[in-house]
Amino acid sequence: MSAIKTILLVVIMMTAVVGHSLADLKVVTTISDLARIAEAVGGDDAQVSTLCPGPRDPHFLPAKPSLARKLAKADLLCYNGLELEIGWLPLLLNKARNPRIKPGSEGDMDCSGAIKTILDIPDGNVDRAMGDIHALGNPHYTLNPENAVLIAKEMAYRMGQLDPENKAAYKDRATVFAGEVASRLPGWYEQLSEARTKSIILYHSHWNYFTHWQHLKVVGEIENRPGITPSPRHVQSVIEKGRDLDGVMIVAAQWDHQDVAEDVAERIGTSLAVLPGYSGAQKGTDNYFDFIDRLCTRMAEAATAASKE
Amino acid sequence: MARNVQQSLPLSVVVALLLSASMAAAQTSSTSTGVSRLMNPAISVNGLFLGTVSRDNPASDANGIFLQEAEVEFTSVVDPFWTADVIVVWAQQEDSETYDTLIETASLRSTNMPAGLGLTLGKFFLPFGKQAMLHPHQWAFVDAPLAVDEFIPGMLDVGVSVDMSVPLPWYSELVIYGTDGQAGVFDSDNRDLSYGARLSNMWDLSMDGTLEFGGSFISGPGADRELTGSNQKNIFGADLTYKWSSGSLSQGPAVNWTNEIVIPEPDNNATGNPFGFYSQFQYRFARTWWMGLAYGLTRDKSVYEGGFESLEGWNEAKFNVAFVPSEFSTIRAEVAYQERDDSSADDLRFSIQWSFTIGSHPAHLY
Repeated sequence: MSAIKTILLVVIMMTAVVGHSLADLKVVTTISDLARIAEAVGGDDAQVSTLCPGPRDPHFLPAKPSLARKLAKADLLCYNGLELEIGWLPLLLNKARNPRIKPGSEGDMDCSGAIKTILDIPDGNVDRAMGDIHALGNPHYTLNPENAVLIAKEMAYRMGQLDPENKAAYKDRATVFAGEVASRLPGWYEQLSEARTKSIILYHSHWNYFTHWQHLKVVGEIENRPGITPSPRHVQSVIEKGRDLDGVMIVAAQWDHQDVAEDVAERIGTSLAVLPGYSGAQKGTDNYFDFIDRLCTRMAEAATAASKE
Repeated sequence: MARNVQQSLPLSVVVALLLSASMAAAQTSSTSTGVSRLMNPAISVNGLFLGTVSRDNPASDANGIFLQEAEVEFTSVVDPFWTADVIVVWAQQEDSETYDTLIETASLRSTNMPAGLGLTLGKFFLPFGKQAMLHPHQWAFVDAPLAVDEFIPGMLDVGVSVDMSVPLPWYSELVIYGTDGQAGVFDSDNRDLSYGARLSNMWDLSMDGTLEFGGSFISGPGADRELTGSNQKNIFGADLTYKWSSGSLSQGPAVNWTNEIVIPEPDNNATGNPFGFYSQFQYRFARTWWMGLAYGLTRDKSVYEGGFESLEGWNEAKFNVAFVPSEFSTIRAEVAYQERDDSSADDLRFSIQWSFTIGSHPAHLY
């Protein structure tokens, strides 16, 4: 009998040790950029997972019920908002059956609420003749590192609410993250000095926060209506516009239809920069800082190549 | 006179102030035009049209151009405890110019159940297999598979459904339900209740591909059976679905392959083991283009040949190509062939079907 008691005691102690070593706060993010920021803020006190892997276009993530397993255990859901996840997050939340993260609850965090300036909010009437337009504004705000700082601070506040014991640690880590961004901003800006002399044609308006932050000049988009295959007439007009300009570069995400982007670049006679859409979309971009580094490096290389064309 | 003017000025000012105040109140807090609008449900409308002609039955009333179905859906949060979903459908009666109105769904869904449970109350699609829970505009082909059409038609009923995650290393969900027994598959003259369950399991084979295996069971009031002496009708089903979509290319290649078998207990006077099966394959071969292939069969009646019992039924094969310029519209062309085992009712049919969705339509199930 005493042997059984001893075994039980050992098991209980081991469980306590293992339980202590695991992070208590479970955070689920919808996109990989938010996951990287949440990891920076949560550190060892939060267990972070993401629904949409970096290489996937989050506009079209299949709502696999298996993803609901992550949501079912979450204490905090950090989502992009501005209807980026409208096609799949409501379905997954329904399958998750988790009241802790339902809309309006403490564990429900719309990260767009932290952003001061939302770009591309349409004027006047909005309808689907404009394609898959985001009526609340462009949702790809994580591509501006200054916005990442705002999100980190808000995440620290929300994590602190749910886990008061580690409130100070979350706040400290958010401050460290902000400091890291601030120290890198001048270098990132300097890196694209040549690109600021070029005209940029985007495949999709995914990059507007990045170009706005970097004061880059966007002169057109291949995909004139979001989510809709561009018409040959529009593509031709983009090509003609590009030919009339000096120093044009084309920018597309790795998940875009690059055959069209390559064709436009070739017919204009310029370079195409294929960039990771979010952190983790390409090898070596798992870290948020590495991701922004990659964007700046690739964009700078494309600008140099465009100068030689 | 001047005095009168002096007296009337304050009055007019007061009236003007009152009017402006009431107008401002109307703009901000009136229950008819103010905040109540924000509380309106999300509304969507779907239209489904069909043009079809048969090679073998050129005089059939089924040939022609029809509004197959119009559907209006309302979804909203009710209060902190429930969400609601209401779907009203106008569907054309068979071989008729008139339309039936049907409340397809009117259900409450709890948002606060403990222990990871889900609760649905009201009228809803009964969770059996993969096809029976879909609205016609979600079907992969113009018509439902024969196996579904024949053995589990009209799987709608009023009742209670509880769903839960099963604690397994993979995604596993169990749904159990009890309903009024008025689903199309049951005998409406018999007032017994019905009940059923579905267990679905899904595995991520890769970041892009999943395999789902499900098992379903439903039991409800059937017509009296001479052979079994029971008036309970039991139906069993199993389904296997493989899905894959390119993770590296937005709206890139995608595959859906669904297989389902439905096994009802024999009806009155029938012997043998009736069943239905279908296999549907869809492939997105370009950003806005899909193609589909399907095969199905049903075996529903015993015949005796040379002293041996065999089952007789239908076979079908379908092929279609769909143009899907966005998630809100589809046009597809389809050729479908059905044959009866005894060749008494072969039919080759050509169809064009198109649909649209306007408004805020909830995303479809995976």
